[in-house]
Amino acid sequence: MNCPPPRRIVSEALAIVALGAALGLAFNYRMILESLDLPATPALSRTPPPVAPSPAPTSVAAATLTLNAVRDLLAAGALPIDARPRSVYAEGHLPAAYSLPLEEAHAAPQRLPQLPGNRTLIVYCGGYGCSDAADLALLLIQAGYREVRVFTGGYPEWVDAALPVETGTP
Amino acid sequence: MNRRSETVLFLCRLLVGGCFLYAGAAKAFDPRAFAGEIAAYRLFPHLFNLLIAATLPWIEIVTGALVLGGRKLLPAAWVLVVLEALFAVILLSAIVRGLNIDCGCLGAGGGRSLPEALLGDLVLLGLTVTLCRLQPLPRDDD
Repeated sequence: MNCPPPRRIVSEALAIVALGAALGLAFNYRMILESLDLPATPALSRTPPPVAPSPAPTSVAAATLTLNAVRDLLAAGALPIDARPRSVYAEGHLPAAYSLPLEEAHAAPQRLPQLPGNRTLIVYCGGYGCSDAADLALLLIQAGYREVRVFTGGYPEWVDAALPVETGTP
Repeated sequence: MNRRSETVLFLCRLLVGGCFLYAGAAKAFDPRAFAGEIAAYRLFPHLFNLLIAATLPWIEIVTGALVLGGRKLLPAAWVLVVLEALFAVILLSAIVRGLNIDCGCLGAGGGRSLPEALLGDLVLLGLTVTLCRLQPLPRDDD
């Protein structure tokens, strides 16, 4: 028995949406998998896994981190660096984050050596492809800091994971 | 269908299909930036912004191509009517909440304000509804 046309149109419309969504997920599977990096459940891991020392990145692209990796490194003593403008930093930032807006880093490179050289630096900005964190990370690497990483998800991913934030200026 | 209706239908297909094919292609290759544009509306959590950014442009490309090519015209046009109606509601919500953001319709840096985008969306909705009304329903044996 044939379907009446309106029902067939609805089912074909849903098939069109499913096809488009499947193409999009296939094309962007890496981005989706990175954003689905979930923490281990308590039943699987009662103690946090040790943070293995990683070689210094040779490029900013190799230094990107997922949210869980950021949390592990922060627990091990890494310093978060906020590359956003100070007014945005004051509205909310990662706990104990150091404010170093990219514009100021470009204008006053002499501030860069004031960062601790014996801690891993995790640079972040507004997420969603914001390039300020990667640009600031490059400046830091060029200034001689070896352990520099970029948190690509940035402040939005941190907040959406319901993780604690601080407000105010340093 | 008379000649005038056929001409109007053809023009609607060109405009609507071409618009969505172009808009989808403009956003499909930089999903993170498009996710940032979606995040500016402050409606969805981080993961949803990324999922929408990953899939919506490709839905636009597929439906735009079908409308432009005149294949599965009615189902594709219905998808577009739903997308346009939803987008109009989202734009109106953003305007009411006083958000001063780019619409993100053509990807990051598209440069269209929310009222402009709402007007454009309503025009497009009108054209798509016209297209749906002019296109005859498929027969059971099609």
